[in-house]
Amino acid sequence: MAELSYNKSWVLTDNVIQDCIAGNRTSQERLYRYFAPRMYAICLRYANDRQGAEDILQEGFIKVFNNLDKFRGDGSFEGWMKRVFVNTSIEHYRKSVVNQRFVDIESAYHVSCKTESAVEKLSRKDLLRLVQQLPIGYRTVFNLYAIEGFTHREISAQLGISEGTSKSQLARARAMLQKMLKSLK
Amino acid sequence: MSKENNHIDDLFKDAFDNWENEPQKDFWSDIAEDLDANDVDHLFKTALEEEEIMPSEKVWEGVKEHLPLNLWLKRRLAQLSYVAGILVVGMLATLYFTQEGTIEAPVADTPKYNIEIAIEEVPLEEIDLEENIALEEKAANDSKTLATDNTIDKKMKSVELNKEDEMVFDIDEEKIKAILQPIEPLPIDSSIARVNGNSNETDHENSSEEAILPKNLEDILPDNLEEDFEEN
Repeated sequence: MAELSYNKSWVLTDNVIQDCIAGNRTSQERLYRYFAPRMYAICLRYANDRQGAEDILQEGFIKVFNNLDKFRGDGSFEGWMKRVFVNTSIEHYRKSVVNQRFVDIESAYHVSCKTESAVEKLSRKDLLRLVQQLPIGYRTVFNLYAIEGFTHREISAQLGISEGTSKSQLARARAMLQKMLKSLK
Repeated sequence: MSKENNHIDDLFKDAFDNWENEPQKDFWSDIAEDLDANDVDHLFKTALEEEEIMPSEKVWEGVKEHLPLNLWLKRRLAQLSYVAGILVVGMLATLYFTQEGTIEAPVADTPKYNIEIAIEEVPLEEIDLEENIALEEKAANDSKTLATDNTIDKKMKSVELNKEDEMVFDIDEEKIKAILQPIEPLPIDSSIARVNGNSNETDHENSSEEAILPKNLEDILPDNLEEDFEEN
C-alpha cells in the first residue's frame, strides 16, 4: 500500500472514525498521519528525547485505535486524543520515577530577567530543548500547569503528589527555565 | 452613647488617616518574579502548544502491528468469552456441589480367605531323617530355580484361584505322601514282653509288627496312656 502523505486539508468526519472502528486500514492510516505531528509535539515536551517521545506516541496511538468506540463525541476529537497522549505521558513519567525522587534544589532561583529579548532570539525548537532539559518532575508539572492548563489539585491527583509539591516543582521549573534563558541571552 | 461611638471612630480615623508604612524589601521582587514566571508560562505555551513535528516512519510501523481489525467484533468476542467463562465456572461449581457427598470411593470387592493350616504332629521317632534331609535339599534346589526365574506367572503357579474362589495348592502329591507316611505302631519295649513270659519269641522286628499288650497290663498302666498312644 502506498504511503499516505500528510494532508492538512483532510477533514475528519464521523464516517472516518466509524471506518477506523470497523478496521479500515486506509482510514486508520489517514487518522494517524493527520494527528501524529501534533501529538508528537506533545510527547516531545514530556519526554527526555526523541526516542522516548516516539515510544509515547506509538503507545498513545495504539490506545486511541483500541478505544475509538469509547469516544462519545461530547467534545472535540482532538481534545480527546490530547488527553490520551497526556495520560500516556504521565504513565511514562510514573514508570520513570518509581525509584527516582523529585530533584530537590535547596536554593530556589531568584532570577529576575526580561524574557522578551530571549523570545526574539529563540526558536520553538530551542524552547522545546530547554523544556526537555528540565528534570522529569519539573518538566511534567510545568507542562501540565503552564501548557495543558491543569490546576495544582488536578496535577497532584494525576501524579500522586501533594499540591504543595506541585507548586514547588512548578516554581523551581520556572526558575530553571529563567536561568537557562538568561544564559542564552 | 452615640457621642462615645463618634469619639472612637474619630480616634481611629485620626490614627490611620495619614499613616504610611514601607513594604518589606523583597515585596516588589516577589511581584516581579511572579510576573516573570507568568511570562515564562506564556512564552512556552504560545511557542509549544500548537507545535507540529513529524515523527519517524517507524512509529506508524509499530502502531500498525497492534491495530485491531474490527473493534465491534473485538468487543463482542470479549463479551462472549467473558460470559462463556462465567458459564463454565458456574457449571463446574454446580457439578462439584451437587455430587459432593454422593460420590463414594470405590472399594475393591476382594474375597476374604481364612486359610487354616493343619499341622499334623509327627513323633520324632517316626521321621526318617535321611529322607527329610533329601527332601529339604530338593526343596532348596527348587526354590533356587524359582528365584532365578524372572517371570511372575511362573512364581504364581504354586497358588491359583479357581472360579469358586477356592484355593488350590499345586503341590506334588508324592512329596506329601512321602512326608505323611502312615504311622507305624511303636516298638514294644522288651521289658514289657518279658512280663508276658515269652522272652524268646519276642524280638524287636516281630514285636514292632504285632505288638499286643497283655490284658493284665492294662490295669497297671495309667488310664490316659492308651489315648496318648493312639494319638501318637
